[in-house]
Amino acid sequence: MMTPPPPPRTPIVVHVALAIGAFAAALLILDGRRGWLLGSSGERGDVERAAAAPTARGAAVYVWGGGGYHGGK
Amino acid sequence: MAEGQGAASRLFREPGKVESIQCPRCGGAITLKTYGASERVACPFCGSLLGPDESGALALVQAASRKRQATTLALHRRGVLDGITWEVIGICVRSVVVDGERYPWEEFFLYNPYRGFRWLVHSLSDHHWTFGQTLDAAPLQDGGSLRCHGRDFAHFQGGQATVDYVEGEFTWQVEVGDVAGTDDYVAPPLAISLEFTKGPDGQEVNRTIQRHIDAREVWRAFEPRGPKFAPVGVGMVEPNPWRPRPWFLVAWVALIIAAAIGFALQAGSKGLLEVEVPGEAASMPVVQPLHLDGPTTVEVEIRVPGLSNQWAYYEGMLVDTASEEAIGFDLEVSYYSGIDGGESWSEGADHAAVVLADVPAGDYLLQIKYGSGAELGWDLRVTRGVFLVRYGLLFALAVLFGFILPLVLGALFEHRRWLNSDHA
Amino acid sequence: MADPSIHCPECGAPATFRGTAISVVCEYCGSTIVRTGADVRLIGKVSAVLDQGSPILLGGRGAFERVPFEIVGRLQLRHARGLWSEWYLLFADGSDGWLADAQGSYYLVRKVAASDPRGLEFGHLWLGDEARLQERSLRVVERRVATYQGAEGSLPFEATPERGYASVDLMDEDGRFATLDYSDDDAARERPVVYFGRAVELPELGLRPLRRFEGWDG
Repeated sequence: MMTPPPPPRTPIVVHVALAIGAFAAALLILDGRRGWLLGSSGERGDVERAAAAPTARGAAVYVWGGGGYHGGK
Repeated sequence: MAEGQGAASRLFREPGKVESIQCPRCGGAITLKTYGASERVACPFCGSLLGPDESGALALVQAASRKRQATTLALHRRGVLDGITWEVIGICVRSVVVDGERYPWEEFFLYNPYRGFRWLVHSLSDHHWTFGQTLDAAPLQDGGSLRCHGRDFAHFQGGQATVDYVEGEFTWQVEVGDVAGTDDYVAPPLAISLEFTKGPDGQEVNRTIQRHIDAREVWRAFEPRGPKFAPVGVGMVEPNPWRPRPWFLVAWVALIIAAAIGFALQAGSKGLLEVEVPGEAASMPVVQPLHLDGPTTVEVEIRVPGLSNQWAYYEGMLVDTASEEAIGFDLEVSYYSGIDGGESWSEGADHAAVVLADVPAGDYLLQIKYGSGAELGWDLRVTRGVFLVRYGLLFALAVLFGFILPLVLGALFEHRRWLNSDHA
Repeated sequence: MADPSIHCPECGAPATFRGTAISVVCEYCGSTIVRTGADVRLIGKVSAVLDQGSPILLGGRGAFERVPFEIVGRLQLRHARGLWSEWYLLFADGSDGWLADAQGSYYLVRKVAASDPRGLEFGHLWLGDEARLQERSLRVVERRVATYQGAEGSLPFEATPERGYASVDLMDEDGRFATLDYSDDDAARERPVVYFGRAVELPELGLRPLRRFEGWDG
């Protein structure tokens, strides 16, 4: 009986895609609700204690320190 | 040789000799390479046919005077395939006519005295090659398929093949003009070809089994001097590079199931805070403590009920009370609607949210205050562990390109293969 | 096995009957000698075996499915499409078999017990017809009446020329092979001797020595 030729090697891209898929699945499970890799964490900065000006509702405890930024993304 | 049996039985102890004869028609030198096994010899120079008589000597069967044709592989060329040396001892050019178009192919009859005979078939219309041998089995016909050695072969094409040109030695009585009914059945990379001729005992069937062979392999083995043509389209038995291996399907299905289960088993999002700020105190900052057990996403959602054709802007900070570092964010809520020529439209919504990612564990103070715009009562809701859709999107893209796309490409490949068949 | 007292009645050379061989072709003068009991008689000279480029040699040794054998005889037959050889094998376990040798295809068969002969008549088996043998369904791939071309060595029957042999070859989809031999005595060709086996590749048998060929390394 004739020997069939060896099957063609799976294109590398198929292996790469599977690896990416596995990585994406792991990421989805482990980081989906944390956002370490893909999350945008907003502007980070230091704050300073605000001058005390209590109101009935409550006072701003902190103000944004370190020039320029005042909330926003 | 016909004298004494004693001489004969010892004859074969001597190495078989290559004989050379003169073509009785044109005088050309014909080298005989099969050590007595040929049933038909076609003079390469004039095409006259010789055949063995009762004593085994070759005699003229049919005179001819045709010109010698150039073929991709030359007569008596040797090459190594699958580790075995083969010599081209016969060349045949045959063709089928389909819808008025002639499709020719070359058949190279190969020989190795210890391994028998093989065929290299080269289609001159699409330049695909196959490597074949006599099939030592009688396949079972099952509808339009053949079953052989545990494989199913599907019918691909049928036709009437005519011999147009012969050169060299053959172990069967071939002649120019011979017609045979052919049927090819495929189980890529293998194929079974059946050839039917009328014989005295009924319909005779010659069965060959072939496998796909790359032109590259043929060139590496025989190093022909002529040009190499690129194959056109998908060959009848060309192996499908996208054919999903079992592990491929299993891996992806397992991955999808694992992702689904993993996602379902995650602790869901959890509300941390809900505050309603009445209209009168709208401009007052909301300051609330929050505790996070572990690193997580934090969603801050502001809803302004009754917002209509207005906008409102809020600024916020999530401050780590220990380090006095904060994450800053802002939110704009806007909602507009109306009726324009009988059709109602709306833009925006009465709520907006922002998701802070990778917020470390710790004690925080959430501080949000109204910035500008409509000064209405607003509701605040803070949730932890909110799922970022982009992760789902990434996985979906991976599934699309890594799983769906290869399957589609595989199906397209098969479609292109079968375009050349009788069952397109 | 080799009885030194047997000599060719024609030329006097020693003649060796292998196994249960009935006839032997004298190596020296080509006469066929037949043994009946203690008697030895001459049948006549045989035609020469024609060289067909077979790599198999008389006296070659090999093994099939781990049972060693020796090639002790050969019959060359002619039919409409040419010549082929049937090599007679003696196995180490005392059994015998045949190796059909035709254009690079080889089939090793052994005689099997005659089961139900119905449906095995030569006149009923045409190309493509089915027959059931050894619990398998096989299809007719060839039918022929062949004549005897030549012989060498020891054979289990009287190897006389001018004998015509009718036979039918059958195969199944997994390479099982059977030959039905209708002997001369069976004029109606109704009760064939059944040989059953399969296709083999030469390397599988490990035959040594093999014929040498000018231009090829063994």
